Amino acid sequence: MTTDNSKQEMPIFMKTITKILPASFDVLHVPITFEGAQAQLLFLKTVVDGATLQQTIIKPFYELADEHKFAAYIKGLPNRIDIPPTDDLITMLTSGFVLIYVEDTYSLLEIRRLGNTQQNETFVETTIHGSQLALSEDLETNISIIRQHYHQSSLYVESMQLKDKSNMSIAILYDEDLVNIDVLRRVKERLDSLDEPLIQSSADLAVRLTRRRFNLFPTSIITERPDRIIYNITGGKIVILADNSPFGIVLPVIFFDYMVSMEENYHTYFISLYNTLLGWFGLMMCLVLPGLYVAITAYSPEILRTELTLTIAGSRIGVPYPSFIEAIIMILFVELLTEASVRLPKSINAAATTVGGLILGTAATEASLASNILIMVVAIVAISTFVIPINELSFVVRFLRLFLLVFTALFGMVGLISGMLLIILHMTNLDSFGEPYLRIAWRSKRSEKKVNQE
Amino acid sequence: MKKRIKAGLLLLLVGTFFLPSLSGCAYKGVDKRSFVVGIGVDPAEGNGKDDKFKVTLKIAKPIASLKSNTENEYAYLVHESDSVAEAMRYLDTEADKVLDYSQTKILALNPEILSGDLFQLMDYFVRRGDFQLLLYVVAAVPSAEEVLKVKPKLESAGENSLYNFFDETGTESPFVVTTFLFEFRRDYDTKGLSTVLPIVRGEDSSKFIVNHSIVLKDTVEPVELGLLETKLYNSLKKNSSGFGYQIDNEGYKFTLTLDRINMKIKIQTKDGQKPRAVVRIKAVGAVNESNKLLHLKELGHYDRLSAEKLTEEVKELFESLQSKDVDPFGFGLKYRATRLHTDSLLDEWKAIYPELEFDVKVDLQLKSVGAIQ
Repeated sequence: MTTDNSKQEMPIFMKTITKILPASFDVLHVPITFEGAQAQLLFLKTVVDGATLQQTIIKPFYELADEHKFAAYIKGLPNRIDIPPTDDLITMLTSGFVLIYVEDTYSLLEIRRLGNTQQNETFVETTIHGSQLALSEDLETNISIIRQHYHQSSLYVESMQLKDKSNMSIAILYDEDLVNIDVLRRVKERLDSLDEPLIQSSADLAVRLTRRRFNLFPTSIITERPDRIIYNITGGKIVILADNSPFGIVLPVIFFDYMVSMEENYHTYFISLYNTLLGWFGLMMCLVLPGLYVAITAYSPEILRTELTLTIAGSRIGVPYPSFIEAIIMILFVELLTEASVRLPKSINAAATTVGGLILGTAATEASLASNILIMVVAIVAISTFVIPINELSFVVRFLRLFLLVFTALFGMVGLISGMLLIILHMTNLDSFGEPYLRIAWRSKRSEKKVNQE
Repeated sequence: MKKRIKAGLLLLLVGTFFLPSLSGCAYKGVDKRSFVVGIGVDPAEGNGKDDKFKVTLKIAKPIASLKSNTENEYAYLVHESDSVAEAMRYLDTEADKVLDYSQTKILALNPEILSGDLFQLMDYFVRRGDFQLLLYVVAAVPSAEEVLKVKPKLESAGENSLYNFFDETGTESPFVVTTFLFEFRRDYDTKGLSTVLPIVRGEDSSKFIVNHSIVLKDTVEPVELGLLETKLYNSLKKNSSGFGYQIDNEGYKFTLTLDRINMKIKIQTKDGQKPRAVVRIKAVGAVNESNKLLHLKELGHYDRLSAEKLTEEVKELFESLQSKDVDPFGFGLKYRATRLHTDSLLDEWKAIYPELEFDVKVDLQLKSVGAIQ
């Protein structure tokens, strides 16, 4: 509804802009007159904060009742910017700017209706002692959260807009003194050369930032925790925040970053060491155990003690399929359970896992479809997947263990070992924005945080 | 890019089709294997043919549920043949599943086949890849078959009580000699050393007794070691601990427990003198039981009494082994190792050994007389 019924004549520039804008119901052209004073506003009402508009523009206009004074007032507003080129102007209007025409001059005011500025509770990476609040869904709020955690003048925030259809504004944050210039250059080049039709969230963006198309390992960490972001900024890393997304992208990363749980910083030395080892043990377990089961039952039963071998042989009595098929069936079944519990609404989530996990597990052994030992193996595997601190890595591991399983089924214990070797070879070949993926950080936490620099 | 993907996919396809064929027939589910837990070799009973060996295989049945099974179930396969290999190949045809020897831990040999050259017998076991060199070799009395068929009353499901004797997870007794297959062969083959096997006696097919041993050396007749001799051998050579010694000297009768014992051998061959083996034994222990009241300040006296008695016993053992021309303590090996090697070294030793004089000195240190004073 483009209002054009006023006594005021719409200025030519505003007319052209209105023509470019679609005739959508929320595009408003508001002329205001009071005691001879005139002004015209053009904005999209769905993205502009109405109360602020009323408070800072319309009310002063009627109070001042003088066009000259009002123009001076507008000029003095902190959120005013000069008119950019027309193309940019259009995008700005769609993101919450107000075009105002008063006393023959145009001004552009940012009166954006803010998105969800509330900090979410941590949902993906929960800790016991760490902060319980994650990022919000609003870019500026997020930047302010980070600034409040990191009071350093060297914290540099660069904002830019993506060129895809979402025109998402993103912010690149880093500590100027610590950042690796080469990496920064690479990231910016990559951001400039992005040509995706639509990018909707930071996870989406993170995937597009890598040049390879067929990728298994992620080359950046998606995190919702402000403390992890600060931890990484202090380590000289770059953080990219995207508007409307509660996650930040941390880059560059090395493999070992995925095994750091924020909880580690909040415990005593030995407890956190123990937790770290537990994480690594979990990683190895869920990666290797299914393969190991097949290797032991089908290729080299001599590895185990006689009693255990006989028990495994006994538990496989009546299982019609070879252990490889048996293992694949059960692992796929657990994968389904995991996926189901992610997709399901939270309220029925628990029921699904209980029904699936407990009842089907026992039923599978009773129906002689799987051996008891395998049920145990699968359960351990499923549980230890959740020990891995960063979710992205557990997705990778879930895929890789199938790969290892197939390899082992073909070549036995040798297959398992060479499969692991292949994975390591692949990882050595990877890099994250120029940083070798498997680089071992032989640095203490202290020097990593650069506390003792002076 | 597209081409590379296509090439990769093609490679993957070819790989998946052909690679499994490389692995051969190794994929064999655990439920398609029969686990042999013991092998026995006896002399053939004849029956007119000129077979040499009777081979017994003890096969464990898989345990479906440990809780519902009260005892182990085994199956036995027996066959007589000219060689062990032949017999085992024949036995393959009597089992529906692959006989898996990877869990075999007992090789029971009838003492009757232990005299003479053993190389042919052990060759098969050492040569075959799926036998573990860590399996325990025992001499079985009255016969290997009977020992394998013993069902001890205390054996529960999923357990093999014969293993417990030898792997030191169960009983730890100085009477039990443990000899692995690799040790058996190595000691048998080494010049100047004899191999020692434990003797497992099966009694009433419900009990094992393991406290004797047998010394083997190629052409020499096997020498059986008695109770005390086995214990002495075990504590001196294998440093096994926690053993009691009866001392009966100057009216004192007491039992010692020795925690540590250490033997050093030196062989002296000086011109014009009889060759001598100087054996120094250091032992540390305590008094366990006594017929008289013992005093702490006279500990030195008890040391001397015990040492004298122990010296006597050890010397006796050495001399009796010497007279039977076996050398489980490795005096010959020590001689060979400490002399410049010449072609005639072994012959020299063969001349020396029967004349060797043993100079045994026991340095025994008692730490206490026990709790009662």
